[in-house]
Amino acid sequence: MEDLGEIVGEFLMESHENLDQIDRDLVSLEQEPDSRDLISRIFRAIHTIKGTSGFLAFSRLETLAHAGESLLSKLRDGVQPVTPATITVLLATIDGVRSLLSSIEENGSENDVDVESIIAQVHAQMNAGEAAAPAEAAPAAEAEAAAPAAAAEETPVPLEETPVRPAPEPVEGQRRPLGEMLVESGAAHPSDVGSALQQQIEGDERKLGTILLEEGKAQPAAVSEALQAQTPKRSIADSAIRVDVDLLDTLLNMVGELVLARNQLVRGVMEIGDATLVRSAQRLGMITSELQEGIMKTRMQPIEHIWSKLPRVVRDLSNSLDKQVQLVMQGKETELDRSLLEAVKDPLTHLVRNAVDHGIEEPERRIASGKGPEGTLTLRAYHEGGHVAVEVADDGAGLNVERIAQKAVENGLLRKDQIPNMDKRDIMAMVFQPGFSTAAKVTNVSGRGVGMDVVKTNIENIGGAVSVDSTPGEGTVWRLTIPLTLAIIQALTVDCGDQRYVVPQVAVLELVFIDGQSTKIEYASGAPVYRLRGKLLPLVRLDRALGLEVGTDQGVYIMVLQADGRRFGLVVDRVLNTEEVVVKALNSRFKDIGLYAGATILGDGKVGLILDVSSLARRSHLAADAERSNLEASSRAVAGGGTGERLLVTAVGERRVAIPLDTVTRLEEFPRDRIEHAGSREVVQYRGQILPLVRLSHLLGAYGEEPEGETVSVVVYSEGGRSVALVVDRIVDIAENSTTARRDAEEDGLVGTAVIQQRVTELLDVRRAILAADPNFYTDLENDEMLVEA
Amino acid sequence: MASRQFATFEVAEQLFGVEVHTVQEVLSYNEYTPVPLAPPAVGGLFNLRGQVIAAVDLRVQLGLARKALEGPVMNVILRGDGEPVSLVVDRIGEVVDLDDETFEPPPDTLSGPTRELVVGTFKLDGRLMLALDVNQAVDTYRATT
Repeated sequence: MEDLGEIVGEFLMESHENLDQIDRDLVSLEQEPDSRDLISRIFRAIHTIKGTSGFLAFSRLETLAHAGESLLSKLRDGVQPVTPATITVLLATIDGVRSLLSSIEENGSENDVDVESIIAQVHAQMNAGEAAAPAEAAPAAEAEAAAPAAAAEETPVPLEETPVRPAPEPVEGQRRPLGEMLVESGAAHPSDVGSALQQQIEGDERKLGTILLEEGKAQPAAVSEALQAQTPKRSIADSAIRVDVDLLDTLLNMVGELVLARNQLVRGVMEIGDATLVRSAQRLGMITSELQEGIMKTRMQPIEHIWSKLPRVVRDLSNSLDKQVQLVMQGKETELDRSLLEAVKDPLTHLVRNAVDHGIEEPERRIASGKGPEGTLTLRAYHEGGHVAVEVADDGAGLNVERIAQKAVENGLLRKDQIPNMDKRDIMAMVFQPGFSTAAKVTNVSGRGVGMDVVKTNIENIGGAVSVDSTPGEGTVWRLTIPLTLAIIQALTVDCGDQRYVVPQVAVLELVFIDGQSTKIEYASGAPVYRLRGKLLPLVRLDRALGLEVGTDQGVYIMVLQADGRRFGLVVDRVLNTEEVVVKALNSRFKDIGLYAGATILGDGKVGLILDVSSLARRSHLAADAERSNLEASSRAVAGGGTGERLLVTAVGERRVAIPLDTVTRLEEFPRDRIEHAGSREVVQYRGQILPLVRLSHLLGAYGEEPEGETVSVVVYSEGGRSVALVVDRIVDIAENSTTARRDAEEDGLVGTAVIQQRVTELLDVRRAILAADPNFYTDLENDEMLVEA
Repeated sequence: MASRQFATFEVAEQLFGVEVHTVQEVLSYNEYTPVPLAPPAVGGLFNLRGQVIAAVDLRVQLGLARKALEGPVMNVILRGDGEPVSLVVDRIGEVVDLDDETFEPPPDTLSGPTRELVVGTFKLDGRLMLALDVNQAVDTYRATT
């Protein structure tokens, strides 16, 4: 672009902005076809493009803009009605203009862009209109083309009386013409304005208002009022300047440095304790904060900036899918840092496309399910605790949780037995996994299974988060949580070993102090866990994760963190404070370590490493094994002393069967093909032993459908060096059974029935079950004991 | 006769040199932030006027034991490729003008990690200076792989 003149550069930039506006206006015009304001605005904008392109000798662009303008003038004059077909053609015209502009931007010429077919479409549309309402000859339009680009200077005004005449508009700005305003407010007579305009055209160099005033055709007060009304727009245009984003970035970096220097200074001054110095330092601190805020503001842009393209996207997409979608935008003035806006743009567009394609149903289906034929897609942006939340909500059919679960199992992302234990939202979050799509058919819009994972990655790259919630039949809400700015984040500083680390506050849910008495860390065969309000929270020791010397379990803190939809606790020695830190990119050589999201300069001037919470979670192998370790953990935790009896709740067919946890040694999964037969019994080889299996479904006569899957879940019970395994369909939960109702059971193999977690649950007679697996289990044991005695 | 300027420094009694234009600055610094799990050659990070710089321990690169980063340590900060990077050295020497005539390829007897880092030998008065390959010297993954 360097070789293009400044004028062309400016023209391109302005035109792109104008085109975006036209897009929006066209889509709105389709909604309210009678809006003259919209038509005039579109007309003016396209006219400006036409004028300037003529002036800059981009003839193809001019011709195309001219064609669009001709069609618009018919709409404006009411010769032809606004129909969806017209809008489509006009949108196509705008696209044509856009590709011409890109071509100009890329190689300085407008070659190779097909405008003829678009122009033909426009003409066809006009002829269609003419057939319906013959009027308005083409010659008028031709005449227009001949008179382009005299467009600078002061403004001759398009008036009601002179609709055919093209209105040369000022290239810059889109002020409403003075004459039009005067006529509208009744301050001047149309014919007077008309004649004043005529005088201007004939060479009178006075301004319109001056002519009217000097000829006594209008009141000075009315004219100045109208000029006032015009001015604000101009003053915005004149008071705003375009600034290179790089310059803003540099400023932002420098302010970041300043913040750090201030932090150091304030710390030093506090140590000295000189009152005057402290005051100065505080003042410096305040000024720095304000400066920082100011610089931040310069980079802020309303989210409208990226939303503005969406009405068009929604319109085109819903038309091509024969759906009716109304787009509602709330909070479009919400501001975000520019670089973040850029990063959010594509993910947002994807979510919107996805919502139109998969979220909102066809009109027939909507009617069938008792909704209106038109779906509503709501974009919502708002501030929330130092973040900006952006929601894409549709009122469509909602996500099908079962289908997602099934798909997740098919794709090997989840095990079947995990699903019943999972939160609905965790299952829904599976759609963010790479290659995941439940779409029945692949459309050109979506369903290929690329996309949601990219959305997630992109948003997480900028320190944000994505979640989804859905109610069947009522719709789906996709929610993006985005930090306000990239460069400065709220963070917690923590100590681990003798070093200080930084954890982004966005990931932190809560902090727990471990005193070793009332709160303590427990171990499940070496894996640390913590009981957080009755649920087991897998723990990651930061010192261990970093390969440092492992410290004690007492007097430490657990930071409850959330990443990738998983919760875990990070054990650190000390949590110091929250502060704003400036994120510095970390040298590329440390990317491979993957544990660090960046670095920052701490208050004392040292470098602090910012921890990457999600990779910390991943590295600690939390992801897949979380559920499992939970269960194992609790089985161990029992010995540590719980109140009441703790039960392992399993599912056997339709029934829920509870096994006292203190009789459980381990939970295992065996591949089905490892099950062998010894006589009539099923056995597996386990730790060098032959482990007899008993299927609780057989034992209890619960012949349901055999659960499918590669593996079987078993509960291993060991005593005196012997083990048996009870095969269950799946592990449901661990429950405490102290106060629930209990009733003795008559049935064989059970000792009773209890209500656990609002469900009737049968209590297994473990001894009986074990004997079923191995009739000699106890007798041999007794024999052994006898041998010992003997 | 072409000559080149070298900034010289000592590591484990051996004189090394890098071409002056690759050096941004030389300074002593005494607070380093260790980076757990980083390649062993990374001594730590430090704050150079608000910029985070990685300090590469040249001793480790040469196959020697780590240098204890306690107290002031000399850093030769190289411009690097896009981001500055520091070489931790024992002592800073002079900047010397060297004729290409005094240059020889590394001796065949030189082997081990040092051989990979050195592009040549300059014969100074009374001692030899090994010219470092800057890119190799700061490549912290080299030694570990």
